[in-house]
Amino acid sequence: MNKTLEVIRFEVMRNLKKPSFWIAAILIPIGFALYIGFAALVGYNAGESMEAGTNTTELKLGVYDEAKYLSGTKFINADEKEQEVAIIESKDAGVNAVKAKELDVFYYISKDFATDQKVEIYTKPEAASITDDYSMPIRSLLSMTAAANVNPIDLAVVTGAVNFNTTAFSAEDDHVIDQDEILKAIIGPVIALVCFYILLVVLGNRLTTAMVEEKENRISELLLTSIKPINLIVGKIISLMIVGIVQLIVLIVPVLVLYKVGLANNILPADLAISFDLASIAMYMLLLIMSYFLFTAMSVIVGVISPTAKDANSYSGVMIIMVIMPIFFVNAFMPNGIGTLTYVLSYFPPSAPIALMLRGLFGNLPTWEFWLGLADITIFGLLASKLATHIFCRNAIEFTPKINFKKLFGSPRKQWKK
Amino acid sequence: MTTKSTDNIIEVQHFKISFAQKTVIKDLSFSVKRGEIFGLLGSNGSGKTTTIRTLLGLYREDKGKLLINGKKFEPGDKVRIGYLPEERGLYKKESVFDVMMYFARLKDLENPKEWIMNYLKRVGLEEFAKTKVNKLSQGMQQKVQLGITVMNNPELLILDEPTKGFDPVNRRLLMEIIEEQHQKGCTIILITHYMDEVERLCDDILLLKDGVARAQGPVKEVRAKFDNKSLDQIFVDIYGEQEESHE
Repeated sequence: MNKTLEVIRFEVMRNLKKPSFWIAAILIPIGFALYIGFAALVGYNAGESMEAGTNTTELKLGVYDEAKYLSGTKFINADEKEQEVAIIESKDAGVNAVKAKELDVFYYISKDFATDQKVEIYTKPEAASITDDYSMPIRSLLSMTAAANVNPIDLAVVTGAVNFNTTAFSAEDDHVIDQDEILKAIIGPVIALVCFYILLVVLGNRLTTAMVEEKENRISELLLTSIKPINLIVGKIISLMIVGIVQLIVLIVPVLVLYKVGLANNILPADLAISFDLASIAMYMLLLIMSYFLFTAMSVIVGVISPTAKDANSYSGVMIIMVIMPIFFVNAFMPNGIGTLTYVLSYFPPSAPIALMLRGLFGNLPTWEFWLGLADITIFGLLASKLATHIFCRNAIEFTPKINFKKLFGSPRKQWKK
Repeated sequence: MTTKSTDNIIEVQHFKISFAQKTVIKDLSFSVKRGEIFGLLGSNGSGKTTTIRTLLGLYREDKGKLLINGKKFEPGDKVRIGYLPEERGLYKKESVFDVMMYFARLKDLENPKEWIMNYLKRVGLEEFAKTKVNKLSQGMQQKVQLGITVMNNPELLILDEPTKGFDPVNRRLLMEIIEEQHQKGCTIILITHYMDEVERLCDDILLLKDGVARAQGPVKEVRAKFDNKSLDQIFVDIYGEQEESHE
């Protein structure tokens, strides 16, 4: 045990001393936050500009309404000012006015509008762009005309403006489930999922190469006369777990502080003040820790199998795909998608962590299945650690680039069975 | 597996080991007396390193007994062993002091800091204590490896080609350290291709060829059996037979 503690101390300290660890620990979450923020901002701006269309404030607009449908010619433009569309006497006159640059945009509503619902738009811009959209003025005019002709109730139904209020009763005790309760239930899975994903990205590579180092640097033989393989492997796994927990603390503490400060100073909207369900969060933190334990043990197996760090990186790629597989089949975890694939991914140990977190997120993970899944992950994690030790005993001083699987999984040395 | 206590620190009896289809050691028996310097000799691939690895529990024997202090050795045993393997390295991105401290703690060394600084001073590496291992020359790294090997005041020191890559000055320094350990009562197994080192240092030798011992015993007796030829010449004669028979 003493020697295991020495391995833990050495491994934790040397990881925490590395500038690369802190760069990854701090920059990757910041990078994620910036990416999400930037994507949201771009999406918001794009949405707004798509809705607004091309600004027509400075343009001369004309319309020829052959169908006699429009009830008015004034609309509110992008500058929120009233703008008038001039009435043109014929289609040809309008088209010619555009060609002669007397009009910037001309709208033609044909006499068949009732059957073809089509408006022709003519323009002659200096430089055409795919983002140019001159339909907003005529849309406004058409909408205003339609609204004036239709019963307000019919209009609300057709435009989807009707409000729907749902009352859901709990399957367990018929109490009414409110929005706050749903939000509380998904916080645990969301935190676990985000943290697990960040651990995979930040530490995935470090975990596999940690075990190759002794072999690649020819330290195994020096070490193995001083320490039992089981002490070394357990020490490595625990130290890598500690490094991961430090990573999570670096990630979670600033977020919590910013959240609390933001709420206290009214920087964040008051409706973000969520009351947390601590029991649910504790359950999912336990799932996160055991999932990370399983992932660490699998990474150690990859590390002890691999002859070099380069090979370890290739094999860890395959392992990470198995772990994140549920993300590719996200529909299988939604309430209406539950089927065989859901259960296969929920109990296949490498994919179980993310599958269970996704099911928790979509609200279809019964408590008994949560504990069953957690037991599955824990047992497989322990077996993986045992297997890693076994393989390490067989492979620690093999310096050839070839992997001999028969030899790896053969019977262990008698004296290392303990 | 325990046998009665003798003056021998190592007992190897009818040891056999194969890898895939190749038998590396066919039938090998020898013993090493407590406190002696024992030379384990043979050409490359003759099975010297395999014998040591099996003795230290890193390989499993097919047949026979390999005992240290009358017991099969396993890592973590109370026997203080210093092993400088042929395939040796260090944590390259850590400082010399941190690497030595790690091994010192694993070997339960008392006052590790003091021992490490004294050793580094002795081998001229005091100012490199905080330097990362990958910034050191090969020779400097070997001195650090030797320090790690002898730091627990071993009762059995196994050195697999310890002077490989050393310049004459550092080779002499290393020999001094080996002799010092011997004077403290340490048993030493020396694997080397330098026969002058063997003649100067070793009490007993074993010359391996084709998985069996071809010459074995005190240096003087072995030389007497071969018309008092030098060990160098005996080595050439024994391995020359193989080449001639191949021709």
